[in-house]
Amino acid sequence: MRSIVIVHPQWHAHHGGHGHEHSFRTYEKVVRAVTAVSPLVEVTGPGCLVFPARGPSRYFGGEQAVVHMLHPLVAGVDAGPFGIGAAGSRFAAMAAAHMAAARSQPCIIDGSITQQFIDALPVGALHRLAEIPEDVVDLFLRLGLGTCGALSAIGEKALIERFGVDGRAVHRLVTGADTMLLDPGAPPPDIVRAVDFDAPLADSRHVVGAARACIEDAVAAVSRTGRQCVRILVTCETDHAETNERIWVEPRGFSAPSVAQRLSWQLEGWLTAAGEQDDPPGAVTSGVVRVVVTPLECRVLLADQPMLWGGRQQNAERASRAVSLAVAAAPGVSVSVPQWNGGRDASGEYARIPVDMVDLHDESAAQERVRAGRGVPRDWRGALPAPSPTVVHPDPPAVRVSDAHGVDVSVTGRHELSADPAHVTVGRHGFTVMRHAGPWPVEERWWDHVRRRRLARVQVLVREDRTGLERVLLLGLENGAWCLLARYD
Amino acid sequence: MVLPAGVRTAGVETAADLLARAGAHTALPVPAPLAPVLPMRGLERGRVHGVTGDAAASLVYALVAAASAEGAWCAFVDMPHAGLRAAHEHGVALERVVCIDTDRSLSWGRVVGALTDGIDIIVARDPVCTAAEARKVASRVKAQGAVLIVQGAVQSAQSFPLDVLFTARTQSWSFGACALERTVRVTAEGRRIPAARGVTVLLPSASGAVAGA
Repeated sequence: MRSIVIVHPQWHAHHGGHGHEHSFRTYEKVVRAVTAVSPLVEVTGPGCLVFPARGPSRYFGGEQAVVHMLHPLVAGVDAGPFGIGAAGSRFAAMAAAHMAAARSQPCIIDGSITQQFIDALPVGALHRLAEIPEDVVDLFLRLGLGTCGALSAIGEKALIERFGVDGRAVHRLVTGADTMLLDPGAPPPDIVRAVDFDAPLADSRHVVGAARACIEDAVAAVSRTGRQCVRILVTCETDHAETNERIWVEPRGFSAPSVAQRLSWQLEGWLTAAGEQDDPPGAVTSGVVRVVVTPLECRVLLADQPMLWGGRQQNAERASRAVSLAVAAAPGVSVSVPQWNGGRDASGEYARIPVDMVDLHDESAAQERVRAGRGVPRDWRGALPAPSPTVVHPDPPAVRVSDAHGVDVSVTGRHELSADPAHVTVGRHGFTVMRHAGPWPVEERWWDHVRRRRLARVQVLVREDRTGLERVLLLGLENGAWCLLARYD
Repeated sequence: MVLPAGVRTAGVETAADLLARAGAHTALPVPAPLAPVLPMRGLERGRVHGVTGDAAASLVYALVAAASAEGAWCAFVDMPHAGLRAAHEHGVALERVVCIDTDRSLSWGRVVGALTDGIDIIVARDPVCTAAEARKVASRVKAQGAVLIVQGAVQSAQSFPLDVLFTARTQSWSFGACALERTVRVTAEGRRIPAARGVTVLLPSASGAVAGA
């Protein structure tokens, strides 16, 4: 089936500096530009998308016309190198697109020469472009089968006999058949799940939360048949009948949270488009009222059976299941995961984000989430030195800080203490100050009259009057009032 | 064939040998300076541990750190005050941490019980439950092979059938340009520990993690 592929070979290298998720989010711009030509595109990963050539080429008058229309559209979004390829199968189109990226002009392989084009491809392309395992490709090379043409010559029977499922996939690829159907036709209705909202939802987080049960239901419906979904169509509809549909691919198989994550990426690009420009094409005018989840392609679960003693992936699955059980056990439970946020505050450095927004199974994304220094590189000068406080008060209680004469201590405009603190009172407990350090000043957003913040922090080593225990406290002075920011328990 | 007591045959192991070997697998690792204080030199699966004292928060992070770094999942239940940066400095892998806030009602036991199904270490602060519910949670922890660490005042922890109770008391702080390190006496007592054991550690040391004193 004729397909058109657009690849940005260096997308992840250019935009992946802030993680897999960031490069997916930024890629949404390209996807949106392409949807002007073909409404339904399949995002294989950041930097690669596929759509069937038939519809658009009939509408715009030939593949040549479609490709020439796409070229300026895609070039206008991102300055990085990209290639557009069209050919008789997805694999061939993918190879053509990579070739086009290298030559920086579109590459259209005519139907009559698609087979010759595939025959000339090196077998390494099977691994790079089509998910054939590296060791299989390596074995082909050692057997002296260097090109796809040599593989198609040895025949389907021999390939399946020796390589099983992989052999069948290889045979389909090298003969120009598709391993995945781009336009799958009507899926069986019993695994399609839809959810209608009572009121239009304009915030992507609300939509993801409301569609969660529906997604879990769809994934469960597939897994009941002993299979796992690897390609899924997610359709959103607004109150004004605007629709946004996208096909997502996950070769490892979709779990409910990973589908929810794709939905959130899809919505973020779409719902926030309204705020970016005055009148972007395809901007929404209302909230989402309907989400439909259609599993398109399923694979037998057998190929991905877990290890006997459980690997990390399995631990993550168990953990994620336990968390959903805990949420179901009681209505008032909220679950969050840490995310590095940066900041000078002991409480703000790691934010807690709702677990609905992340995929607990995705280990690399999780590591990315908590890695210090992710996101925009900034210099957090004035941050406290390690070791960090172990107990941080999100809602700091007020304290009284006085010097040796019982006079309240303050901080001057140059961030100096007016006197050495000698006594601290927290509620009914009195503490005698033995040593102090600081102040560490925080001046944030001094240009903004509303959100500006001026805070001085002092670390004190105190002896509790009642018990005689030594403690270290972190005190803060903001707007003339002292508070207990954190403790080193 | 009955082997006379004390006779060892090559390749034949006694049940006690097997048990001792299996024990090594059922305990989650802890940082080396803390190992002497624990009966199995690690956090034994299926047991309820209590942590109290004025340095309890640091001790909890230190106990969890090694297992977390090796792939165990942790849940912090009702700990909105947890200093996550300090946890990170102790070596806790934050990518495998979930923070759970219950509404502190009677459903607490059900929430923690559900977590034992897949979370390896559950840290709960000041639990709200009856003694009967606590026993139920403890038996579920045992059945699932999870580790429950209850942090808080001894009074609230007493309703729990604790297997080990750790007490962490500050001895002194070393304070230079800022707070640097602290000497803490960690003691453990409990049903499975014949005589109370103790160890003195730096908690935190200058690097933020636990170190031998």
